[in-house]
Amino acid sequence: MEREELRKIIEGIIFVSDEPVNEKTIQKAIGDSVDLSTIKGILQELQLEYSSSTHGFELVEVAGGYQFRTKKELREWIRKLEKFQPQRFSRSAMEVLSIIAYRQPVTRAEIEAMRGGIDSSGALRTLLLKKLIKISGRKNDVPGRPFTYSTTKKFLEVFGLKDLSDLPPIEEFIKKEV
Amino acid sequence: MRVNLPLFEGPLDLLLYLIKKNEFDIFDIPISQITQEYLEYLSNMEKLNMEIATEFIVMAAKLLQIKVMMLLRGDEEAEEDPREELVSALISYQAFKEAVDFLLSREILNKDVFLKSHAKKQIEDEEVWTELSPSDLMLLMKDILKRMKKPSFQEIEIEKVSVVEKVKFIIEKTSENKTFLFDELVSEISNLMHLVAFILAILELMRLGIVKVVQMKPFGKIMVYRTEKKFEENLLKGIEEYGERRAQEDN
Repeated sequence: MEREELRKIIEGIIFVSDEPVNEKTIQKAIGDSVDLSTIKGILQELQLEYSSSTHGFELVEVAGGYQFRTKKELREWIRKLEKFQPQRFSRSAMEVLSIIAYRQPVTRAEIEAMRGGIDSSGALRTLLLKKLIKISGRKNDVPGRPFTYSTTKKFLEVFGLKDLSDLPPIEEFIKKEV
Repeated sequence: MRVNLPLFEGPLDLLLYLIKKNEFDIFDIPISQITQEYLEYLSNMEKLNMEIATEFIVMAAKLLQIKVMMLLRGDEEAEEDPREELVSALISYQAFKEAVDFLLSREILNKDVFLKSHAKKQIEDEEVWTELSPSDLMLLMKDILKRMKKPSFQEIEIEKVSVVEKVKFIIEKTSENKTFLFDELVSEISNLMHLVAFILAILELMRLGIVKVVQMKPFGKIMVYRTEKKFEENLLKGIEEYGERRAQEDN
């Protein structure tokens, strides 16, 4: 298959998909005759092409795949177009979310201890409802075997992260001065 | 008197604010000074009739304890610094606050950046039922338990509640393409044991992929429906087996 044609096919596959698409999914659709490195190369080409200022959207690597997303500078326009509530987060929900992101799997008691003993059940509930976190198991060596919480794939999608290692190490956030 | 009080997420947040305001060295916090300012803040809250959360009081006690230990410590270098635990809690909390800023600085989906499928979803929204997971059901159960009236006096009776009966009941309710509303059924259940059995039955049926629990929109009505119709016989056999298994477990 010509590289030009392959490029068109890959572009089309990403365009119609609701979820981020990875190299393997693309290979499954096209066939094994095309190797992953070729697909990867084409994805990078497409990324470069759409990153140019002439396009309104770009190809973003997120949650283990590739996805077309509108560019940030268009947000005011798009918000005007679509009458919907933009994603909002409370301070407490964000604190709980960042603790879970870095310390997962983590129990509610552990989260609350790190926040100075603040009741975090409301924030956990909000995050569960928004499907940014999930109950990932139980801590068996603690009395009462409390639930442990972890982040979800949706968390990666919402915050535009490739995977969890895309988060900067927490040590980077430790400052010598307040 | 008008007092403008900044609001804090908790005692650590307040302490970090006081350290920053006074330009204290976080590794050498003047405990008596910060304790005084901390307590002043709490008393201002009280003056404004604001409710002071218990964690603020707990921290006040901790600060006073550290203050006393500092006084008793003397000059010996070898001894452990009583502030150590507090300092490391503050540093790690500060790091998570930075992590929050990092996350909020990202290009957030449906706030800064958008997907093409969004428009499609908005249009279909009216008909879209989202499937609920067992953990959603758990949250729901908590709500139901809260809503359940607790009689002040109750006769305690030992009643054998059968999950199998509930399974059969749900199967019957969902036969011939029928659906039922979760709320309607639950509102009729007044007994905790029956509720637990009912939820267990739904969970078991969800696990076997026989029923699906869906919700139209957040906080909307919840509906239970059958996924397969043709396996009626297998189904009943499965239920009997499940009943036997449970009976064995009970013995």
